[in-house]
Amino acid sequence: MNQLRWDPTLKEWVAYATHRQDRTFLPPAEYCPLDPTKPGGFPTEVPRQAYDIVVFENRFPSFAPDAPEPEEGGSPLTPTAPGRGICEVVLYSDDHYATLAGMSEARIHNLVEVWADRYRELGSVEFVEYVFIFENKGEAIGVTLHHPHGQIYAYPFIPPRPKKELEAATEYRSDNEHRCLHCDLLSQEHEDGRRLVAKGDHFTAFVPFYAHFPYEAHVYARRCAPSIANLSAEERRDLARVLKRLLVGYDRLFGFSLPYMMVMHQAPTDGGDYEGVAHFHIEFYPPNRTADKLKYLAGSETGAGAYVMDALPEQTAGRLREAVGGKAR
Amino acid sequence: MDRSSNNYPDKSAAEPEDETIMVKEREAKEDGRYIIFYSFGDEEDREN
Repeated sequence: MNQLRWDPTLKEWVAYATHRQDRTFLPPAEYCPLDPTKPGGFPTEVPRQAYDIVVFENRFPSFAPDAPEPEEGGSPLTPTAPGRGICEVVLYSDDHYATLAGMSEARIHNLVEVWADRYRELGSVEFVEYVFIFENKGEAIGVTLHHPHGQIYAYPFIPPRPKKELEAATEYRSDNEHRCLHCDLLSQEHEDGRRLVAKGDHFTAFVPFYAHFPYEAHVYARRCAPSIANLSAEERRDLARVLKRLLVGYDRLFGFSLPYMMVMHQAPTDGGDYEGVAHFHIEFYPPNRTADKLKYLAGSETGAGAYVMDALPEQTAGRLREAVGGKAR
Repeated sequence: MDRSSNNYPDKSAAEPEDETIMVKEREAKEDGRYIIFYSFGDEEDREN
């Protein structure tokens, strides 16, 4: 059952997918459903003995391409809609114990190529308005499978956070002689320098001035490219380079493989014109504020939407930059 | 929905411009879901 219910108080859809209660939860490594299928072994999701990168439709999807009209009809005030969309799982490697941080730049670059391909293909589906590429890493984030993987949700609507960001960028552009909000934020970070973490030839990683998590980092394309599919071959290679540096830094920060949420913000695929408004970037939200303490989204953050932080971005960026091991300016 | 004016994704900008060889094999699983195998031609790219 995949259905959407409209919350008129926040003006946003909430997705319901009750079958997800039954999904596989932290199986032992020998029963990982994302490993290759070994001769004589149990059949996993991948019917081959080895693979580079694999993408498949999620067995427990939050959205489904053939979602029927909901039996619960709702009301004019609180309408419902089919939870129509596509949910994919992206397997980064056939090595159960690999992490993105531990992979070679070349393999990360291959993954970037796959992400771009998925954006193109899913974005061309008629009912898909937003292709959201993300990774939840670590039990602290709530992952149910440890095998290195990410996910893609192809939403039938533009989800609230990217929508709010696009609206802010549209307003900024209108008020500032058609300037791109993200280009100006990036220029400000370059000029200031204190929050920079890593710089490549085409991408920059930094802790934003207004970070919502202590070690939040954003990876921005320097050119105003609306989506990952608009990046040039050299830009995609540089993205892999900068991601590798940032991820290695994250793992050095506290001396263990750091949990995080990684999300990509880019142009919707709803047919609109997002030139100069959408600016491809990746955001990382690690939950750790120290090695053994997590930042929880508690009353103020969840109930009021107001984040309260106990470390300044200039301080955390300095530590992260040191962990990355280089001068970013 | 009219997608005729959709300029995203920009496929011309997305075509590989370097030596990257990406092979894409799409198969159907027993339950009807699709699975896509991506493999890469350059041996160096296969290193982990």
